[in-house]
Amino acid sequence: MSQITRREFVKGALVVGTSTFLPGCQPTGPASTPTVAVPTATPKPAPTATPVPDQSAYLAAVRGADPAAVTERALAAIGGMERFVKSGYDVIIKPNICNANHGPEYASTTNPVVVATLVKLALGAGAKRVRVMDAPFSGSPQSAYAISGVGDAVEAAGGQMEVMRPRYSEVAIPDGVDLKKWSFYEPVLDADLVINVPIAKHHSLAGLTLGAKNLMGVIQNRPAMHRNLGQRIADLASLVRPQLTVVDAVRMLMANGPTGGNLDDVKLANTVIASHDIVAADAYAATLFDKRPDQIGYIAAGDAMGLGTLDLSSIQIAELSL
Amino acid sequence: MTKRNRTAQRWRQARRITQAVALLGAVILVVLTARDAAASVTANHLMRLDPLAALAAMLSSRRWLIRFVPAIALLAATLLLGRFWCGWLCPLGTLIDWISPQHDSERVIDDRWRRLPKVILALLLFAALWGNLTLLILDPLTIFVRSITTLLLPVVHWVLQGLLSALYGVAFLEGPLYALDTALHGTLLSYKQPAYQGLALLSAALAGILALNWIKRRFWCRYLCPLGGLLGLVARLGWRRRAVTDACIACGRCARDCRMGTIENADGYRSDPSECILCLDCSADCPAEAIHYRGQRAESRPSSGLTRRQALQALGLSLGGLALMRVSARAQRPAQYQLRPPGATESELLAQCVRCGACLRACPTHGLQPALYESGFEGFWTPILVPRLGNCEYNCTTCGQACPTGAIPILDLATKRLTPIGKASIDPDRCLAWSEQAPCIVCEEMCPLPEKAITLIEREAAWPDGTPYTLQLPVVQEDLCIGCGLCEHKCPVNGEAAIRVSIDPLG
Repeated sequence: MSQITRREFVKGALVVGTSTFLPGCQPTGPASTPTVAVPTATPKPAPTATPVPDQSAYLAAVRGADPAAVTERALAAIGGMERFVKSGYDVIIKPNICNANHGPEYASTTNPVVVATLVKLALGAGAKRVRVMDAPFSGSPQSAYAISGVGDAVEAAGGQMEVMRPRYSEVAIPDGVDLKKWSFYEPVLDADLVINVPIAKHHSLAGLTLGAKNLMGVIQNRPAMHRNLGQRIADLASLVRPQLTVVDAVRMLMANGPTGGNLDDVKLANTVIASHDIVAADAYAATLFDKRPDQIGYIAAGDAMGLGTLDLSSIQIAELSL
Repeated sequence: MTKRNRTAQRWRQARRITQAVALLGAVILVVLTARDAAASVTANHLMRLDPLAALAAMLSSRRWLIRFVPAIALLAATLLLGRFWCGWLCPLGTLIDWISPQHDSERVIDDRWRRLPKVILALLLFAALWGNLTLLILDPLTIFVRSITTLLLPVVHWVLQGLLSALYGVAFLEGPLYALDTALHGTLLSYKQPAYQGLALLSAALAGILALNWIKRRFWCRYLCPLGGLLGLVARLGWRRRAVTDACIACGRCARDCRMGTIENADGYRSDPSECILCLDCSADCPAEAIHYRGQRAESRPSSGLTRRQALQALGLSLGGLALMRVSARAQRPAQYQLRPPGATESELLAQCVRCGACLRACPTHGLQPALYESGFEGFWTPILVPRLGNCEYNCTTCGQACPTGAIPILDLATKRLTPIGKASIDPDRCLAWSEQAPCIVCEEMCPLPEKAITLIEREAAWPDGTPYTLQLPVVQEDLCIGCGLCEHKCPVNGEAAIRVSIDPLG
């Protein structure tokens, strides 16, 4: 038998190697974003709820024509960004940029001015950096950031848009009632401060998509969440526990959510709601749709789990008009 | 070494460099064809150089396609210079050269087989006359674009992804890696791993073409390539050709080295201008400097063209083949899941699609796939949408822009959003809501239309423990549905989705 030359060996190895790789490129169907395989990690301890300073409201709902001014006033009413951001903090802002289909006037994605104002406030309070991110279910992140207007607004305010690339790992959810573990975007769990900035929209299954629902943007395998959605969303919130929730109700999507696309479905409410309590913020936002908070599955579940309170009569609310 | 030799060697070096640059450029153009690369020059422009695709597409669609003027220019240049495309520019030719062995095997192949490219060319053009372009899968540029798109780039993507994921663990690399990752994904690299169906056939085709080199170098170019056949015919008519002077010492080196095997010892080391690809190896290495490229019609070997009988046979064969395709059951009954890109009608697509795969590369979700059997052999490797792999994005019109012939029309976004590809329908036995009374309605949630094409029936139901809840059951409104397939893509049922887009049941 003749000897195999080095040249032949390398060629043969390449052929065999490539033909073994190629079947690996076969389509595998939906939800095939690769995960970083990491054994179930223990999450960082949930941040203790920031106590409400004196002379500050538990929840603020501010109405006015200028979204930037309204956002600033809402933050001021609950103690200012300084209550949440300490010097040198690594801040993540999680708006709703769920698709790349429409501009901000369609109320499908969070108002760029609201997000940019929060970026500005956080940097002003001493944050080391402010990253803004979401993982759209339709369209590439880059196109969604551009079409929603959030990308340009954030960068103009000094923040950074982050593309949620594969740094997901399976994390245990110790307080989870239905879910005991799920796949989360690691940097969100590692940040010093997470500011949750949903836009108030109609949603057929959940009823409304608000703060807790907005957290679905930081996980993988979202289709599988839709069984027992309300409890599962509350379970997610019990792990992520954003310290600040700002509900963008400048424009509200009243029907055909969460994607929208019809300007007739958009109601201009010019309102921003802010609270450290994600359940209370969602509960107040629900009333803007003339719904009772306990009618929304994840609000009721979050209240039951002790993540916050949906009883708006038991908390101090600052309702202001600019 | 005399001046002539030095000049010849410099030209040969220029040829090598040009080959490399052209190959790299062609790969880059395919990379840039992806929507998110947002480039203005793409594989679309590469295909415009292709005289075979140009001729076939214009015959088949009965239209003058002005965008193919570069192809006409290439034909004119071939008339002037010879078959230089094959030796200097063709990316498949360069690939073949780079992996070729040093010498041909001892096997003897009768020169009459050199007619085969012209037979294939005749079959192709006759079929085009009758509105069929299936044989353009044998065009070297379509082979190249299709192979880079479906084979090379997905592997590159996968390897890069794996490397990045592995290296993320290294702490000090995280920052720069992340910067690189986000700079590439969603721009030059798609934000999803590209994955194409039918990889066995696609890779076998390319591997086969490359493997044939171990029988004779440039086997594809010599005995199969229809574009080579066309350019050879034109080169034969041309002005400039290789000539051997009396200085020849009959060492036989050129005949041995000729990568097209067209230099004949017994024929005074002359070559057939329809076979010579101007690689310039012979003139650069000739010890007697006896080889020139002359501007007058120098003496050369006779060409193996088609006889009249063979041309008629080709005509008959193409008519017969076409008839068979048209009477197949598949042609009479379109496949249920034969979903075409928006705006593309079946007959126009089959008559104009050159099977290059540029649209596959452009599609940002990789929902456009090369058809296998869905539209019969006539539609082999034309684009179809497979929503389970990728939906047609609501804000995208790139496939029409990438298509070099207009087989996929260019639509403005507003028109595209109103143009149905197909219609979704729900299988109630698989749908979680209909069959298990489970809350789901992801399909309704995802539907991007301002007035959703999925509405909900509400029914009172109860959990096993008796707690009542309102069950929502999805119903497709077919008059609204445009068949984008986002519902099918996101349906959480494993295996076939419970909601599937098919051709319009009533259309």
